[in-house]
Amino acid sequence: MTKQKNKGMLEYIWNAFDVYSEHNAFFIEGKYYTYRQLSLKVYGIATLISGYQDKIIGIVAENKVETYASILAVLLCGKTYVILHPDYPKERNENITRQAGIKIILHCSERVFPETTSYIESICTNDLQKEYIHNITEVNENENDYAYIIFTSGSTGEPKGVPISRQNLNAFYTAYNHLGWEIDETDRMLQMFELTFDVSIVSFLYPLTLGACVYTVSHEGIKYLNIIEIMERYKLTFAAISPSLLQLLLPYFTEIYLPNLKYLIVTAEASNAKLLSEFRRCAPNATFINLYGPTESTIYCTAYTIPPTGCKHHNGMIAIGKPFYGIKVCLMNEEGKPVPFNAEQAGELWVSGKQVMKGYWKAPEKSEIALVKGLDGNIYYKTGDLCRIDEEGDIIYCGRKDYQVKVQGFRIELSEIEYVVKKYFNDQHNAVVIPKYPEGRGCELHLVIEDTEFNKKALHEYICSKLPIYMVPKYIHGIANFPLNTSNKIDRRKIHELI
Amino acid sequence: MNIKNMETKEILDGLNSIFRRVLKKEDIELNSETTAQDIDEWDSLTNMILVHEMEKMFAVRFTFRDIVHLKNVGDICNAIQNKMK
Repeated sequence: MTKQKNKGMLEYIWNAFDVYSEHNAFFIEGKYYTYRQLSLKVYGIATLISGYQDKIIGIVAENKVETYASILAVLLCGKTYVILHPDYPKERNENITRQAGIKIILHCSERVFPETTSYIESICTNDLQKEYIHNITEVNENENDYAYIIFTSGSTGEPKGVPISRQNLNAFYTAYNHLGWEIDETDRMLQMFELTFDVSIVSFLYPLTLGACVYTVSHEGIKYLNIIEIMERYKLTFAAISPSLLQLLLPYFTEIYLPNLKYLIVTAEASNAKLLSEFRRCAPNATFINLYGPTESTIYCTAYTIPPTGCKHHNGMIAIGKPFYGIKVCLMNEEGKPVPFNAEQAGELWVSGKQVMKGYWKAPEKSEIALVKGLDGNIYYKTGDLCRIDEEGDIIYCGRKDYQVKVQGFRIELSEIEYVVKKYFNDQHNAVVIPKYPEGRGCELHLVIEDTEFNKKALHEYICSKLPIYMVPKYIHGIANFPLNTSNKIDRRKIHELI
Repeated sequence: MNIKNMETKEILDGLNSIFRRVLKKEDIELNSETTAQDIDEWDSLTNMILVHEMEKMFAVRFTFRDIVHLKNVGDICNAIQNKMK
């Protein structure tokens, strides 16, 4: 019996199980697992869940080999996985479970619900009996079936499901390969992201297609210290990280040295050009790449190789570069008219291609707003990101559309104010501008600094010397540490609540 | 009580006051075995603040290597003691 009918990402992982059976597939909590060990766990879980009619399987995010094996098993069986997080509030997990219609939840040690209810079966993958361990002999994959559904924060507070099909995932895989990585089965690659965040998916699935080893980060202890410790001690060659991590490490750059690192990917939020430039001496042999993409267009859809000098940026935020293979982009103004390339004015980035989802999970009205027909007749996803495209075709990220506000009739990009403030602090402190709309007073800007010991008056004077008065925030606050969301991005909504 | 033990107790008292203030949790009671696993609020972000506050209070400077090796409060006390010598 053939192992695979369709070519795709899973096929390569499937092959790696055989070809690299004695290579290490994972390093988790101080222990290596070979491809053979991983495949046995995958087969065991796949055999078990194949016996259920249910298409959608919940998986509790844990730093265990069984968690990763569960994801692979679900994909292998042609089913769809949805990650539930033990740290999420119970109501959120319940909401996701209800929305996705989950009846089966796979977990290792942590249950997301205290007791298994009569309608949800909770299966502990540690308890698999030997009789379940059989070889699955084919991958069951239909292009239109969903591989996973990621629930993101919706503007109404109700989690919004982004279903990514097998076709989306395979289109992403093809495009990602086109970036021309020089990596193979000997590479050691970092997986630092929460499984609820889609960058985690490429961080472990892609290395497994190569026969490389994935190093995950322990939830125990202090995460950013664990990450650098793993990168140094195990001489990792590839790491995708969030810029927030680098910001935390900034005071220690002179002590960090990662000569084995071949690629440093920055992703998940706008990257600061100066910060990356300073980190270069820590990873002198690495190519730095900024990867951008909304969850709706499957993980990443543009790439920019950051040059050692002359990095393209807007207000310090590094350019996001050129579209992936198979991705079409256009910039549109508020009237839905195209913004010419190389124009001064920024437009909303729309993306189209096989990586783009067909629509939100059971939310046609939200899909209708986000997915629209472009002038070429293709369906585009409206990213909500404001960008420009320069004369070389590089996309320059200019900020979120939501971060653009009008004060006294003037259009203001909040990132521009943040840029000026960060300059004042010589990029040593984070700063965000939060717009508030008190009744009857229009938009008021609140500047929040990640520090509590600074001179507000001096800062205010500096801003006044650099920006027109309508851009000067009315209020200045200091917070010792900015809250981050589960995707390691600065949680502006929470900061809004704190001030 | 010998001098070394007195110093440890003083350091622990100082750490308790820092942790309670930074993590805004009055009921924190540290001992040498306490780790980040035991206190929800002790994470990547707050750890930076805690280290900064410790450096100020005890007039010491931690290198990145030091911080990586601080696995529990006992390690922190020892590191501070050694640096104050």
